[in-house]
Amino acid sequence: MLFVLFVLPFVRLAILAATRQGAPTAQNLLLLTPTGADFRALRNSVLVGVVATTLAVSAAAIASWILERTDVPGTRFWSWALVLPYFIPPFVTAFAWTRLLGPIGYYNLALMRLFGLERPPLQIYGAGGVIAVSALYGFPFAFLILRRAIRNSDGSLEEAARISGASPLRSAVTVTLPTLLPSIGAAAIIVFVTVVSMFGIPAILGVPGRFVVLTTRIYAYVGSFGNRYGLNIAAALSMVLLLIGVLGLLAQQRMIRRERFVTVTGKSSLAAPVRLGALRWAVAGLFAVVVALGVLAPIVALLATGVTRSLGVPLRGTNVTLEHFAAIFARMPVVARSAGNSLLLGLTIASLTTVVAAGVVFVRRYGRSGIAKRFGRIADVLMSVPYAVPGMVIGIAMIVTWIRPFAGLRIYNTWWILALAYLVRFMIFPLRSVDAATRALDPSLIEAAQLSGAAPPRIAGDIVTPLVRPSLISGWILVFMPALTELTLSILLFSPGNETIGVTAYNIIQEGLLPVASALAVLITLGVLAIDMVLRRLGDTR
Amino acid sequence: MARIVIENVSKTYQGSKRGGEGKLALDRVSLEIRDREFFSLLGPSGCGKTTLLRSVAGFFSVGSGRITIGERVVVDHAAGVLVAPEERAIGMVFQSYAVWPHMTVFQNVAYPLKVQSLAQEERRERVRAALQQVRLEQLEHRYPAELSGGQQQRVALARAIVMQPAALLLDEPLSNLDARLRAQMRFELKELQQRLGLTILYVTHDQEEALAMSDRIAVMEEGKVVQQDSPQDLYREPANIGVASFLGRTSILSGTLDTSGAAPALRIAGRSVDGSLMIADRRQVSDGQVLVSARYGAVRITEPGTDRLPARMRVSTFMGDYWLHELTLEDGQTVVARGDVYDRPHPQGAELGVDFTQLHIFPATAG
Repeated sequence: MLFVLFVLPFVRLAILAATRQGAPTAQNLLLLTPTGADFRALRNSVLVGVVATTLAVSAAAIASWILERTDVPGTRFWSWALVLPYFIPPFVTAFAWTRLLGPIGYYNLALMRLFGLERPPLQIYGAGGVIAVSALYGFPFAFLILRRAIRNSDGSLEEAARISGASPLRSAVTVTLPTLLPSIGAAAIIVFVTVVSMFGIPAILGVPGRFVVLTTRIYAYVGSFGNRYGLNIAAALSMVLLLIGVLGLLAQQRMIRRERFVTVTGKSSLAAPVRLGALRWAVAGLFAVVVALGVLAPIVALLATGVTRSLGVPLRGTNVTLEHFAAIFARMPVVARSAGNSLLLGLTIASLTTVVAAGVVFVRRYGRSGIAKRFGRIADVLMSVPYAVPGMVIGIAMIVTWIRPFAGLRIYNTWWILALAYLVRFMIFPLRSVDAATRALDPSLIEAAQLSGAAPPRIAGDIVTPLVRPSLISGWILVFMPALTELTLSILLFSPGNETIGVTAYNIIQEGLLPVASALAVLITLGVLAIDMVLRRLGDTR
Repeated sequence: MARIVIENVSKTYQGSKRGGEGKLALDRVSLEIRDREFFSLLGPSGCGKTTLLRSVAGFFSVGSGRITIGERVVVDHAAGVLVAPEERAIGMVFQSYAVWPHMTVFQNVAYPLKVQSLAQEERRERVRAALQQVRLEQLEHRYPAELSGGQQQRVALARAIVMQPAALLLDEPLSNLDARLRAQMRFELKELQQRLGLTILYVTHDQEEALAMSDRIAVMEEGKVVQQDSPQDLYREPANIGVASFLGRTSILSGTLDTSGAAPALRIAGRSVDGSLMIADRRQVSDGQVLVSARYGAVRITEPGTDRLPARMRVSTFMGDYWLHELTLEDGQTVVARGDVYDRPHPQGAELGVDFTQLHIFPATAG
């Protein structure tokens, strides 16, 4: 069963990519060669990946060094604010930026008024917009990795450079930067793979500007009834994404191995912060501008659009209204229904994956019989297969596997295929976090329980579970939060009545109902932030 | 409490590759730990002592042999008997203490009884009694994080004795404590063992610890037991050069032996040596090249003389309780000697003589 769930879909996908009507052919893949019709999508994906990754990682490296190593005021606040976009679903972020940089976006309107321009000077739809917003979305991933790396790296290395006569900047570049290279590499790979396999941002910002990437092409092929080989071609394009994911994973593992050698100690003495002098206020001001224009402005723009009676009227007096929010509740039952679906999916899958992960890891690590241990090991390997696979690819693989009833199960176009796809996609998170937690447990804690007379199931309940509970909780959250606003899988697999909130919001955005879409985006953002806050609070206090 | 009988136990660690040569971790080990005995396994790391202890506990399966705890055979490889650790009714104290951080002191100690589904009343009584034995009765509501290392150690000890086990296994339990606490716990552990009549199998690489506490000691080397004896006999009559050099500060010197005359004649650095010679095992030592071990307490430093070995003082180190002198013989070999703390050491480079009150002679080829 595990094989059917976690491996078979990708085998089927590969077969489909290499065939047409059952006969082997390279036709599908030829579309990606320089003369092929979809070469443009491949080239654009790589372009977005490379440029957005470079931007995001450089900015993250600079920001994390400043926040970790200098005496810039307000460190904690900036760290919090810069990570905020991490919690907002990418399609919401993309939509929010259209409210700033679209033809009638606030930034464009302001610039037109300021300089008396006839036409909006900035263009969000197209390559520039996709790259910029992708970079913004990738930034927190890189920032979180690099900040931890700098914090864990030995500050005395940098101090030794200072003692040797190097200026703060020089010691940062000649000492800190080289020791961080593996972490920077790992961050770059994660950002690259995330950006290239993302659907929401290129769909909202790229498609209207006729800027296509692999993910949006795949979506188009799946939805195109005119092309009888649509699914084959989508499968072929997916194989490229799959390849990028697998290569990325391999490269990342190599980087992490190198990182271990480089990070000197876990408990290093904290280096004295670099004194910026008068510059510290300038730097803080720069952070303020970036946070205000890049992080807060999109949210404010959504809010402003959501409470303005209609587009184009100034935001004041009687033009301020909650009618768009009211409309969502009163006239759009699909929103409440899909929010319910998403909650149900999130709760079900987060709980299921966490319980299964705990079971598999416990059996593999603490099981008595050889059969049980072997089962655990095989399950672990099988469930880890989709780790390197981008969400879009999992979605296509699910379609090709379940589009016809399989093994007597007719789940296509039902809630169940969404659940199944989420399960495959998210299983790895709790699996890894439980695995890491049990590996960190001193084996003698378990042995002491054994000698106390407890059998393995009892030990799992009395000793292991309480000791790894923080990881169980964080594993659960790691699934629940992204599942809640999942779009990539859902857009491929949803059916009427089984929409997720991501799908519904995306549809409303695409329909161009800007005020309502903004109101909904505000609600989603607030909802996600609130849930995240509550979960953390609960996680902290046991 | 009960005795532990280990008969012909061998264990091979699998080689890294299939079919590759495995390392022999235990080589036909046979031992009997008597009822109420404090028995130590002593040896350098990698000698197999921990492997043996964990085989008795049941965490390792052995390749061959038999282990009996009390009247119960827990391992009999030939008969296919392998009793799970939780059914062996033995207590164990781990090097890392292994006190469960999510349980209070009381809950930790009560856990073995809870698993046995003992009635609340009796459980409480026995936990209190065990905590009293290790002088922790005041701290039963604390969590391990609020305890010192020594206190956590006692919790582990209480948890091991609360189930009234057939035997107690201790795996380097004192190695994580600071020197003063270690000395104190050594004393308390011995006292507890005598008071409760515990059978203890104790693993350590610290010879002082083993000598101070044990009724008997087995010295292990590369998976084999090379000698088992009381601490006194072990110290006085080491079975081979390995044991001799492992116990106490010892100089290992090379010399020649000639037993053709009326009395055996031993020469070191080309000169004949007087002293009450002790030959560890006459059958093994043949004439010619031999190794001689001299405990630092059995070396006397004198003025130069005809009946002693000429030696030059190299360095004297003040050790607090005594002086540790290092001297160089004519042929460059080094001898260490213990000097009284109230004597003034000879100056560096002084020409002196040494003689021995006791020597052990071993074959020159290692064994």
